[in-house]
Amino acid sequence: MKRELHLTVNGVSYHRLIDTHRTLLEVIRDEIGLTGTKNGCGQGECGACTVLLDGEPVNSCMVLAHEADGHDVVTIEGLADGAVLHPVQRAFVETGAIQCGFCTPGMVLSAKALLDRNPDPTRQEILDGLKGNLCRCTGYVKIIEAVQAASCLLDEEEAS
Amino acid sequence: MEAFDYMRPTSVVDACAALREAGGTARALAGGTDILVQMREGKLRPAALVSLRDVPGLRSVRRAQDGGLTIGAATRLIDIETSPDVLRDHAALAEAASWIGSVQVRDRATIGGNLCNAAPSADTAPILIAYGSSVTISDGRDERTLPLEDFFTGPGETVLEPGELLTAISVPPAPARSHAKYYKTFRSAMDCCTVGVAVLVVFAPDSRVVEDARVVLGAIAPTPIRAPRCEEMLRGKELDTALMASVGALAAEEARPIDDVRASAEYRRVLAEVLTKRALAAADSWLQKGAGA
Repeated sequence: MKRELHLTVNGVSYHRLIDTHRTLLEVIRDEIGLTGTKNGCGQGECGACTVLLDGEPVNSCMVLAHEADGHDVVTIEGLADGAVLHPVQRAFVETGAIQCGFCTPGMVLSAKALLDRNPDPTRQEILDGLKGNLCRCTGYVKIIEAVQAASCLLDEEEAS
Repeated sequence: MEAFDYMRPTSVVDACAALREAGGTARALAGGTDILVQMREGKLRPAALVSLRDVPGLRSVRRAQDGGLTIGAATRLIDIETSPDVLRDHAALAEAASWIGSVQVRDRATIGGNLCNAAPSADTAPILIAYGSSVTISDGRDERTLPLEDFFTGPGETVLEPGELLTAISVPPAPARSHAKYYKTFRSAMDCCTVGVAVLVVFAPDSRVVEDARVVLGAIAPTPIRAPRCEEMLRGKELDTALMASVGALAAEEARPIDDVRASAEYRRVLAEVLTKRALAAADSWLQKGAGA
């Protein structure tokens, strides 16, 4: 069963006829062609498929595309401003918080959402905010440092 | 995922009609964090999903003058966790919600979904039962209300008939001089709890005597269960260490746990004892500190 779907992804409006059993992840990757959002566990455990839905992080593998009908989605491709990385992305690169990179898009979006809610999180608040994002390479140490660094970068940006 | 019909009604009446027409093969869709995983694994094959997304009035927390709460069934866990109305007198419910899954899960998952999926380990059930909550069920024409503890009939099973929808959860005002606490154990942040225990203690005026108590055990029987013998043992007695130990031991006896991948039945009994004692100790410590003052 197909149905009309309207999504705004990274500021661009899309109208498509989409099967009602497709997930938001499938539409983002296969229909819109943005493959930065990763398909990991498919069970909402690993967070590799994290996108921002109306600014809030969700597992796109567990959201039916049509449940997001009419709403606003930001994927990892929508974070940088042209060639200028978002402060959270910059902090991940500069801190060396990326190894294989598979978890990075979800990790960065969860970190951004956390810092939007709470610009100056404690270490525990960072751990809680990233609880739904698994990384099998880094051991999380550099990732936590990157979020702390991003918090400082965003402060500086605010001040300037 | 296998194909299914998808409907997006805009009223409770239409949602119930859609559920009724599909005659038991349809499921209501709220956050989808449980149901979509079960569908992908092939454990659940509904012919239709009836989305509650556009049904008004299901997504709010209202606090009445007397301090009681009415929570729309499609209220998200993230909104319960952060609601000033919940945090005011029912902080243990906000805390239980905050311990479920990740931010990504709580941004979608709803309190009604947590209850209707009826996992024996559902984290919001024990604390809601401890508060004496009831649920409102609509068939599109009439409503019925029943105590939440009577809502569950088995693992994954509730009293809901085809065409019925859970619309609201009513949480009574927290009694004066009462303390509620939910404790759970789990292997990892994202896993179901191995055991969860919620305890509400109402203290008599100016004393350590327990006037009333509710002890609710989760993940330890086919449904969340009250432990009436524990409650009886607490009533009318001073809450001291000896009483906490006796009640904890009784909680282990009341439990009817199974062996599974998360824990053995024997271990679950020990956890029920430990968590019950811990929740009673928290009530005692709260009283010692001046009863929340």
